[in-house]
Amino acid sequence: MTEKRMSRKNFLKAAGASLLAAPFVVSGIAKAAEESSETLVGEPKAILVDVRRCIGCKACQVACKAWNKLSAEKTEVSEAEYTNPPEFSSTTWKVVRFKEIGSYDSSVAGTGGLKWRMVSDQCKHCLDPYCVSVCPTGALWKRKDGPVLYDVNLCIGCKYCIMACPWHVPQFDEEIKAIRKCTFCFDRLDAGMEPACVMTCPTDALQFGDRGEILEKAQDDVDNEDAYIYGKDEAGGTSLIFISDVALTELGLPQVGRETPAVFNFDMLRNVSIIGIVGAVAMGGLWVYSKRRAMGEGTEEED
Amino acid sequence: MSEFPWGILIVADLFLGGMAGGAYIIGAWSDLFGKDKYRTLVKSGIYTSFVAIVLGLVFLVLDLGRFTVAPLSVLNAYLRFPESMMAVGTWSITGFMMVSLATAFLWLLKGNRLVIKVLEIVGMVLGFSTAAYTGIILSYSRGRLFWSSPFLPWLFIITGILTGLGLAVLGIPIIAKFMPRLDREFAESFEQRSTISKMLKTVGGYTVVLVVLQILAVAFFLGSAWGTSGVSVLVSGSLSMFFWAFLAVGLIIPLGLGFYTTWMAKSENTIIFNSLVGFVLILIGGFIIRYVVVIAGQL
Repeated sequence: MTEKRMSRKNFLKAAGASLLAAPFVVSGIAKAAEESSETLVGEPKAILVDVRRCIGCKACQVACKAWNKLSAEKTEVSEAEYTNPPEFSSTTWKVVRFKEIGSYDSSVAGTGGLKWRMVSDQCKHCLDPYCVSVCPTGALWKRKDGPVLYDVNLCIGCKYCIMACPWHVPQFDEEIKAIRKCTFCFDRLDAGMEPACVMTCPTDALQFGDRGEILEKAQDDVDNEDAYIYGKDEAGGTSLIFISDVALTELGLPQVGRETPAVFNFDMLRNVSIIGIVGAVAMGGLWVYSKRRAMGEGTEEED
Repeated sequence: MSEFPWGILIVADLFLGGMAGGAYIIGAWSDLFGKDKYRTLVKSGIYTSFVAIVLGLVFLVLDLGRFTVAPLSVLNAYLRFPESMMAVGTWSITGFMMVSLATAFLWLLKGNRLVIKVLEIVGMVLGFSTAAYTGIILSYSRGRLFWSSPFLPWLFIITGILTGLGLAVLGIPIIAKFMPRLDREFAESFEQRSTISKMLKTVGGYTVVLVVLQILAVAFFLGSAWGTSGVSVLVSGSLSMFFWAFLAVGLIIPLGLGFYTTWMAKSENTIIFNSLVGFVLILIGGFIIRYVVVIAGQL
């Protein structure tokens, strides 16, 4: 079944490519195919983001810039928070989000009822990514061991991935005229190293490992103490597992359902079709009704 | 506009794509099921659909950031058919453009009627999928909740057919006045005010039906997207002025004009003038609704 689908897919690609007779396209596919088949091995990896351990030092944010040679940008603070820069950009792939929950009350002991949390946020590297599903060129793909990667030479700058990502991760780079985003430090993984952000984290708020093991550890915490998990089911599961004492949706991460792209798109298309059929039947009914009434009026006049 | 990933160029592409599909559907439908009095409408719909889809494609390609760096890379957009809705749209637009060009040529050269009719059936399917794609591409965008409504494609399909009808009707005087040598029939038929006004009277009835469907589609779409920030932006936020202008200029006034031309107006010149004004307003409204939906989804 899978083989059949693959061969059909390859046939369509080959047909499209030969039709266009564009050698660069063929070489592009070959390159992408080669890369993905080479790396479709190994246990799926994940990064654990333990909000309870994060001290907001932003070392991960800096390490990401350093390793990936990303230029600095004009910074700004938004909405009286410490999050800076406020959002991802084509050269900021890691953002530590600062969130204050509740307000300070001097009558309450300790922190005065104020909860101050930091979330080290980045591309979630979904198991079944929305960006990959919408990309018209195959410039984005999922590597089985975790990273969601992209080939700038295949990207045409349509920005559909930007629209499809529930977390608004992919960003358009005006300089190279293509999208850019976190790569899970795939080059470091290939060299047997941890991602730069994990490597640099001083408190082990970021941990790297097999997704299964990380999930098990996180689930233990959820079962044994008052903890929330994020990334287990969101968008069909992601390669970033968040764990926190405050719900992650309160910390600026959006509520995302568990549907994978295939399910989401199929449901959408089914509902669009149902509306079409119901609409057509209603219109047809009205048309027949008006015809009958017109005929009825006609016979009455004849009488 | 650079603050939105999808700006005015994409709005223009979606508007023109829907309108081109609609104009072709109107033209082909009138040829396949209508009487001979629609001949100029048929031809106008097919000629203008080709112009509109070519313009739409130009805007789409200009929006592709990569085009300025590596122009040929744009051809990659055909690769992931049918998995990616963008690739489906690319194929659909290309196929539709070719069929529309072929039909236009056959009409101009007075080609075989059977071949034309077969092409028109194929073109209607492709025109419909082109108009539908402009909406489905948005509703597949998981990251923009405002667009994730199954009613959005229908809103855009109906807008496409309505603006397409407008384009086809407005094409008649434009071709008659400015390009009379393209097809002599246009100038001739435009001289016969009675035929044109009779046709516009019938068209006015269809306009009323389409505008009512459009109002229903807007209501259902907003209802299904209720609670998302996009709806409040449209109804009372920064884009509300455009949205209410669309309701008035693009729907209510054309609805009144459609009623008036079909069931009340007597003089030929009044009918022609009112329906042309109505269709200009419909085109303006069709652009505004796409603009507000595309921008509101990204706010």
